[in-house]
Amino acid sequence: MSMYWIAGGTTSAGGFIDLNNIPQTFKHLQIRVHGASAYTSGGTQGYIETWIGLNNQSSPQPTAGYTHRLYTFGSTAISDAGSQTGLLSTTWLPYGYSDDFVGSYIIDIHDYTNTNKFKTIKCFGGYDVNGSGLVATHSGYSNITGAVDQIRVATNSGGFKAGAKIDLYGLTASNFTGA
Amino acid sequence: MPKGMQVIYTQNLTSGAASTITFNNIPQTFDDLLIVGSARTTETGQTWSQCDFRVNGISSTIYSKTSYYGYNAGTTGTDRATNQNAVPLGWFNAPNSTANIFGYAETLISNYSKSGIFKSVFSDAVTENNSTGGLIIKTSGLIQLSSPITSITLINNATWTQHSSFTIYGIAR
Repeated sequence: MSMYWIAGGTTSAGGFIDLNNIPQTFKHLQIRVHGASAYTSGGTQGYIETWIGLNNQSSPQPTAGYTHRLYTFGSTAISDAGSQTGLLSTTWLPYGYSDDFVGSYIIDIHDYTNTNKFKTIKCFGGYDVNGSGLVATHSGYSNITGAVDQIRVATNSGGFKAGAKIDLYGLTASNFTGA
Repeated sequence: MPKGMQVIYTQNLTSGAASTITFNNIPQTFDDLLIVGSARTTETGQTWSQCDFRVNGISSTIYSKTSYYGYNAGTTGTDRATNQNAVPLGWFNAPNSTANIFGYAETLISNYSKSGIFKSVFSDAVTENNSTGGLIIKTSGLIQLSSPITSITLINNATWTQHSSFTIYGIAR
């Protein structure tokens, strides 16, 4: 098989996960997340942004980046973009709901060891709580040309709810070209 | 064949550009194919390039597509095209985008090895940029070919740049 589990874990309340010492032997990386936000605000319900940081980046850092988004909260399609420093925006997770309501997202990082390229990520994910929710695709660029060997998976405020599952996979390349 | 995803071929343009990339002799032992690309083109005057593929060397109008997209921080839309001579692989960065940023696409071809049915395509692509000028596009496509797919040729309106890379995976269900 060509998709291998590398590392992962389950978060504590308010936590995040650092994926360290990522092997440099794969072609692409994929991160899969399943969970909710631990953010609270006077008993309200809503959604909180999630992030990843590459190679020990954490806000604020001067590294340049950009994020583009295509998403909907259920009524209209929205397209927007914004510059980033340090962390790259991924998607949103719900907060304030019971433990049964979680979101999921998949982050892809292509050619992560290639030192001739800035790093591009794509995230597809969302959540539904039977009356509200969202689905979104985020793309992001970071002006890191070095190989990615560390990734932080985090949320904007409050951290992940206890029990969020985060896993890192590697996809291999072939020695055959088929040309 | 064990269920799961298995890498088949990888082509890395390490030494220079190429006008097309072709994968021949695709094994017929899987159910679906997944093409994963990190690439850039030389299409002059463009921020991103539409890039397509053909199967089994066929350039007749057996291909069609439906897409939805968002770009430039505010524009969304849809698109449909019938009777085309190729089907979308994805969109990739071109010279007017920030240098050294390579676009990303994953393209799924369902039932590629089956006889008697047409082939479905799904493409998920993004092009990034150090500005608002980025593109996210999702496409479903059709290849009106009843025989199995044995070769795939990746094309664009110019050339693929050095360091572009494509890998084909087979998926057994």
